[in-house]
Amino acid sequence: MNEVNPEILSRIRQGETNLFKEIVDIYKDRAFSLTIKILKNREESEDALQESFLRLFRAISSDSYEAKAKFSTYFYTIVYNTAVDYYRKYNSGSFNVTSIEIHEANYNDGDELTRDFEPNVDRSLYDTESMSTERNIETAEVTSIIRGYINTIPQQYSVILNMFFINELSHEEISTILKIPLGTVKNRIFRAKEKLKEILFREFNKEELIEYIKV
Amino acid sequence: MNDFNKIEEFLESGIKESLTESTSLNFTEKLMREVEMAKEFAKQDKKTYKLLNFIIAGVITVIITSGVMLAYLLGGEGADENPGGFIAGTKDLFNGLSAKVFGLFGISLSGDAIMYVFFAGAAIIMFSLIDRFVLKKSYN
Repeated sequence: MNEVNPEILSRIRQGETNLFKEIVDIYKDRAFSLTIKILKNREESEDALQESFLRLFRAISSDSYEAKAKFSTYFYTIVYNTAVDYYRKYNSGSFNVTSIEIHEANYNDGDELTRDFEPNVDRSLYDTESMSTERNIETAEVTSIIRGYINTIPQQYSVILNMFFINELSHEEISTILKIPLGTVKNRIFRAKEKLKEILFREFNKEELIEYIKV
Repeated sequence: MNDFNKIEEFLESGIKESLTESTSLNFTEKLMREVEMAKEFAKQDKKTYKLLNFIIAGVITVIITSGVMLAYLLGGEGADENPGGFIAGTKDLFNGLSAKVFGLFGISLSGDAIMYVFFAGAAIIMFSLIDRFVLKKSYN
């Protein structure tokens, strides 16, 4: 990921406010993806993100951001903390990224990932025997399964996945920002991916899927 | 690239695509307006902070100067008429302190000089305490 040039930070500090737009343009969508995973509401997420950028601007202007910290880590810490503050403001409880509530008596490891997800593939739409691979596995079907899965997994997973894949933070950085053990971060990313693999292989024939990916 | 890696890559790109969200089209524009306002407020706050600093420093200086002058004037007259009074007592205390402390190093300083240094020190400490606990808290 492009780290912000320290020269830009120094010029913003000296009063060239318009340069802050460059930072906003680099980070706004990636940061928004994170806030919306926490707040689950577009309007509140945009408000929280706006507040995060203002906090960042004040930190740069008042010299309280020290270049010792990696810029993206510093910024995403602000984004995460602000989103959690907003979550508390709009919800009665506090945001919990650590533990996952388990209600089922016969719970199996990883069940929480698919608690609210049911893959919906209508096999009758195509005849798997006669059609070619590309046509057997429709792109829309795969995409919709992945999207459905990602949209329904608990926040304890989606926040970490977002930080890893979209915000491009390392396992260590995620662990520091969320204040959870490094092992938990690694484990959740691994489990989320494994579960998705399992779902896709259940819905589609493994060989077909591999052929489809090759195409 | 083997099949395992291909699947991994495919899954990761699918996950990335599904996680990505976009802000509304006018987000940057709205935000930059807020940033300009924040900058303006910060400027105003800085001005007010400087003005308050100046006023407080002025008030403290006036109080200390008046105190010292009053003590000097009253002490000069009253010390002879009222040798057991507060002002004369304070002067005696500083004279005694000066003789004891600076005498050890072979330096001779008058009680008045010590008193001025003491008041100046008190003023600096008072000012920095007000600055730290009142002004900086309100303007940061």
